[in-house]
Amino acid sequence: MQMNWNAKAIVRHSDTKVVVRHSDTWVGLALVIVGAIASWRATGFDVASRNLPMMLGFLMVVFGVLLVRQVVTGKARHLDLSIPIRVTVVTAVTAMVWIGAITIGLGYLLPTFAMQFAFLLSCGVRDLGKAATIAALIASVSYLGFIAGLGLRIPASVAPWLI
Amino acid sequence: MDMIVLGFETLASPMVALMLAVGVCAGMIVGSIPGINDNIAFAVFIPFSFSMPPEQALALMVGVYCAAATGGAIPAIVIKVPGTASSLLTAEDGHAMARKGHAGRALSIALTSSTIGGLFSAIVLIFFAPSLARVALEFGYVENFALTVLGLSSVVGLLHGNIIKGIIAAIIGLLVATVGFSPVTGVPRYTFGNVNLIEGIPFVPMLIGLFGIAAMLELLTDIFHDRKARIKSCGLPKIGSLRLPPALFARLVPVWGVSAGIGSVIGLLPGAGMLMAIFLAYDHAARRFRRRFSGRKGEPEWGQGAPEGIAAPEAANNAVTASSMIPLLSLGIPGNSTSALFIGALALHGMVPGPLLFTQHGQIAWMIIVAFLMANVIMWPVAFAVIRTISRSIFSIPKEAMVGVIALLCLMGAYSDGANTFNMWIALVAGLIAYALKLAHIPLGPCILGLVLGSQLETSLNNSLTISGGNWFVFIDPVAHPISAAMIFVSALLWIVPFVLRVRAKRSASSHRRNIRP
Repeated sequence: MQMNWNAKAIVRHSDTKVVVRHSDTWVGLALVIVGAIASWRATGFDVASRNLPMMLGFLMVVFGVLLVRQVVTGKARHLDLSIPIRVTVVTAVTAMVWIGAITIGLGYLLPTFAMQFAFLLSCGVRDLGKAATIAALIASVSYLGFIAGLGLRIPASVAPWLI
Repeated sequence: MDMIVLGFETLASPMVALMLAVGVCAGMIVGSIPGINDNIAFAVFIPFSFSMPPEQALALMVGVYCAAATGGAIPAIVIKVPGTASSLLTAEDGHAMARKGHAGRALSIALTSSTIGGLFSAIVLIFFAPSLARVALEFGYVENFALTVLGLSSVVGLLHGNIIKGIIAAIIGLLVATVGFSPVTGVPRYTFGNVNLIEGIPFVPMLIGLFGIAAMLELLTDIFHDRKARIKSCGLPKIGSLRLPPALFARLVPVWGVSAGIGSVIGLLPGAGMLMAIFLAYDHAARRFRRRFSGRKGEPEWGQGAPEGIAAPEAANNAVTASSMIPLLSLGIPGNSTSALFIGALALHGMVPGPLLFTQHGQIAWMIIVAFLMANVIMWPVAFAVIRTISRSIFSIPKEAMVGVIALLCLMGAYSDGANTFNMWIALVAGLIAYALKLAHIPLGPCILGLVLGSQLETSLNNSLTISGGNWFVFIDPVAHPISAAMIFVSALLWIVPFVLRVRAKRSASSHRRNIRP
């Protein structure tokens, strides 16, 4: 799958506003923060175990800074993140609710039906009947495959009728 | 020879052979669903293999791996939507030929090319993997460290574009690999008191997330961009006869030979991947076509239905499948992302790829090798059966339904590794991170290699330095450790050569600009 749709032309970023809004600036800063935390946490390990993580954390900081520098010098590509953010939120929320529901014991069928239904609506299926039918089909076929067929044991449900 | 026979004997067991056939059928069907790449196909089948004996499970996975790469050509030709990234170039000439009323011929060229490419590289795998593993068995800590450095250097050195991002990816992978018990002293690192992380981040759920969930997020992105309209707009062409005329077969033999050779060599290089192989093979075929056939009566233009434009990428992409297993099975270094997933499939059954696989699980190692050969033999009739029977139904599966199905299969696949809900969180977080990396154009290949090689790098470095009394020059000592010195030298070349070439290209470009100025 190609993801070039959101890569815009390479431009010079002399404007501070452009640098601040650039996606690579934030990636670079995230790397600096994660690298610094990793190095700091590594100082708590014993001498033999801390060398590699400490060095990697330090390198992450260095390359994070280099990435930000690329944005300033205008060598980086800017990304439009509006759709990816929507995609991430939809997926993360739907999957988190499903995992949470399975974990607290709502069984398999109900949470799976709800997850499939939510994904279908997110993907633009506007016919609710059609979405419900497809979701029910996927939930029941996957139940037969994973739970009945492969014998996978999911966390115990809170009520016997919740399968 | 005895070992090859042993491999065939293991594969000849009815259930193992059946699983190979099931894998080929399933891989072909899943690979031909637009939007489902070979990584997703592989990731979603991991849970199904979990409850099987290792021979059956790995035969299934080999079948899926080989057939998914081939199946991608079917939608590429029929509806001009590559089922897998490896069929990207096949879509050009393949669909053009299909639009001219020769869809059957285009499919026949693609499938025959895939089979020949796959068989060629399976033979290469049979000859190279065990020999390389025998050499690797002689490796000590020093050579193992040099090998991990070579693996990481090859993947970063082969990167095109932003080298900083490639290095960042490798660092991320190496850093994530340090989570869990230290291989040196056993001290827990970055576990934050979570017992699930004591043995490190669970590998199989992480791989399922990195490939499966991330690919699902990309599919969802595509849907949000409403790409589906393009797919719906073109009607399905009539497939027609699948017969390949003998003259055309003879004409394509040299293309198959060169493309399969290119694919086999590229597959050997960690991180080079299928795309590099198909582009190189396609480029070679284009030059050959222009030299020999372009402008002749009845010959199409390049990109407008040239048979070489289908044969070259298809032979090359399937040649990568088996040859990418050579570094994995013999050295423990994955040749591409799907073969990295193979590590997960092996790990589920308590096996670690590398030279010891041949001594500790020789029967299974040889069965895998032989299965690559047989999968390509089975693939040809299976592909024709799929085209004739269910391909039209496959193309009518809405992308919208696939998003939820992939998410469910990936999360259940992650859960099935130990029936632990924590694994689902790992898969989800890994998928979101992989998606963010892709958006930021940070390549996933070096990251995977860092994850796989991180522990080996640290253990071999520490042990080498302990044994040598802290002597860092032990790795480049040509007398005591010539193999290590050679590997470090090649690693250095992999870093220096692209840099020198870039500087030279810049200089020649600037001098060219100076020359054309008035």
